[in-house]
Amino acid sequence: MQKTERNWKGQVELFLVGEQIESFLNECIQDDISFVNVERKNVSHVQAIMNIPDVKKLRKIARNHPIKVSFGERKGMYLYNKRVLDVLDLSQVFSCSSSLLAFCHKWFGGWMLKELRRRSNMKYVYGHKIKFSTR
Amino acid sequence: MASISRKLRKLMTKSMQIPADVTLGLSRVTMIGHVHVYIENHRGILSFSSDNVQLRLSDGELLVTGKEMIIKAILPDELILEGQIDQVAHIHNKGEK
Repeated sequence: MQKTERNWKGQVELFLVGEQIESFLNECIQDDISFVNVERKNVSHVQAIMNIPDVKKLRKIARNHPIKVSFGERKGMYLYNKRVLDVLDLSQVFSCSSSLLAFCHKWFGGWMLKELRRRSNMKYVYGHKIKFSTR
Repeated sequence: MASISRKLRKLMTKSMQIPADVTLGLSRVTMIGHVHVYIENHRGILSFSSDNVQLRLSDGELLVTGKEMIIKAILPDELILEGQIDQVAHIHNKGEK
């Protein structure tokens, strides 16, 4: 579940070069920044993966530390969402999603009522109200 | 005052059989084979390399030694270590009774 969430938010590869990387990581963790696949390459070089929304917070902390932060490859659904939203207008997205919703409601709702009628052997099933026979 | 509350919590842990990591805030270390170590309630990293990881705990330090170790995930209260784990050692605080 956490992996899906991370993928949805988007991830970025992070390279930390300098001294006192541990204290920098501790400060980041205290500020609710989580890291994944933290790997020490050599004495002054650490590689990790972090969530894209936390980059701003990390930059703030990095200003107070003698550390060089550089970013690598980005991945995740976040980037695709952003690209799609950049291309499409918000009104277009709204009209498309509402028409899709209406289509689903008509076809899927109709099918559900049909199934309900078939399974319960009831004559009177109208919309979301179920009418029971009194006999 | 802090010592009184600590004693009270210890008493509660013993009498009500509540896990100590809940009442006293002690760390919980879970090992899966020699591949994974889950550490909960840690207080930060002291040193970190591919051969050993030293963590600060509420009641001391934890030293994990092994080979090709990476921190799979690090969260505010939780840390997951992955690699070939050889040894897990708990070092108590010197001043603790």
